[in-house]
Amino acid sequence: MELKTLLNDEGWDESDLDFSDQAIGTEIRRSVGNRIKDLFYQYNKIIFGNLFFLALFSSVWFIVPVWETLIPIGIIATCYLYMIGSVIFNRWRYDKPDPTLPLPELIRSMLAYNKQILKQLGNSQAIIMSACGLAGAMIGLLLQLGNLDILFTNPVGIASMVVIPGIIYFLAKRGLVSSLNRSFNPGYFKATAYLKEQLAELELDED
Amino acid sequence: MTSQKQFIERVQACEGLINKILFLYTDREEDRKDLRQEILSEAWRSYSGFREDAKFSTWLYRVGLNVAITSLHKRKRRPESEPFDSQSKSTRPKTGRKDELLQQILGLLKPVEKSIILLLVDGFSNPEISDMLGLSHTNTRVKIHRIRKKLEDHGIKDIT
Repeated sequence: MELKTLLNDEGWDESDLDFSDQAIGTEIRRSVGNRIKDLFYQYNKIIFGNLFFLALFSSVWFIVPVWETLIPIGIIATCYLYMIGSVIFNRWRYDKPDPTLPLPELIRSMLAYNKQILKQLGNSQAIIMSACGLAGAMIGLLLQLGNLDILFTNPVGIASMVVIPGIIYFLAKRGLVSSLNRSFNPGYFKATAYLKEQLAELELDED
Repeated sequence: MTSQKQFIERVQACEGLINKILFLYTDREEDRKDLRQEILSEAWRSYSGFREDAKFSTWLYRVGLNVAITSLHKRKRRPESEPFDSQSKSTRPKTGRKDELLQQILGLLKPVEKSIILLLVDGFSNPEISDMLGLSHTNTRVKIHRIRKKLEDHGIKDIT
């Protein structure tokens, strides 16, 4: 017996599964909906990821419990709480896109919403990276020397407090932020790229 | 014609192709619906990258089989949630009287072997099958030889 005959004897074009315009349209919507969910996952990742690093850096206090440790911890806490706070505040302030909107409208709303949620974060990332870089250097000194005296008494130490954040700020403005973001958050960039691509396709349809 | 409308019409024309993949790679109604969703969703996601130099059905085969094999691996890792029963076959294509035999034969095959069979039966050449499944030509040839032998041992003298 031929397997081909066996396979072709089945009525493949007749099944109870729905292949109507509406059913396939629903799958198209689901595909877009999954990328929108990815973006919401990224917002949670920002909040919980930064909380984790905040706790991690704060634990330096238990290793070097001197008052100077409060300086880098304070800098890092300010930066991280600003990042976390801005995302939480913006999510509270702006309404989520209505999932029942027509697809092009839904994608436009989501892209606009995404921009609003990450507005402060995006604008201040270079400054945050510079400040955290300086705080990181301070933590390094604290772990090695147990104090930050060298930073306030030695001219090289004093200069490094300006030079280190300056270099990081310069690099951040030259694309360091975006390349780091792309490496650490590929899901975010894939999701936004997909939504933009879909919007372009659907706008062609609208035309 | 709009791209969404065009996509829907092309998928509807290939309904049988999708049903074949679903039949080969799932046993339960629930899995079949999930896999159908995954295939359609992935096909739409990739549709903007579809170039008209290939046939849509060939492209859809490639997407569908890749999704089906990946999904099968995921399901194997997932614990069984409901027993296989007769009701689970309700969305299968219209079954012929040779259906039981076909099920038994397909049960002998590994997931990739099922894909190869499907493509062979639909007239794809060895290089096309290699290309669609991401296998080397030699690997495909060896697999086809093994499939033929396996089927011969169970009374199926020829595939196509």
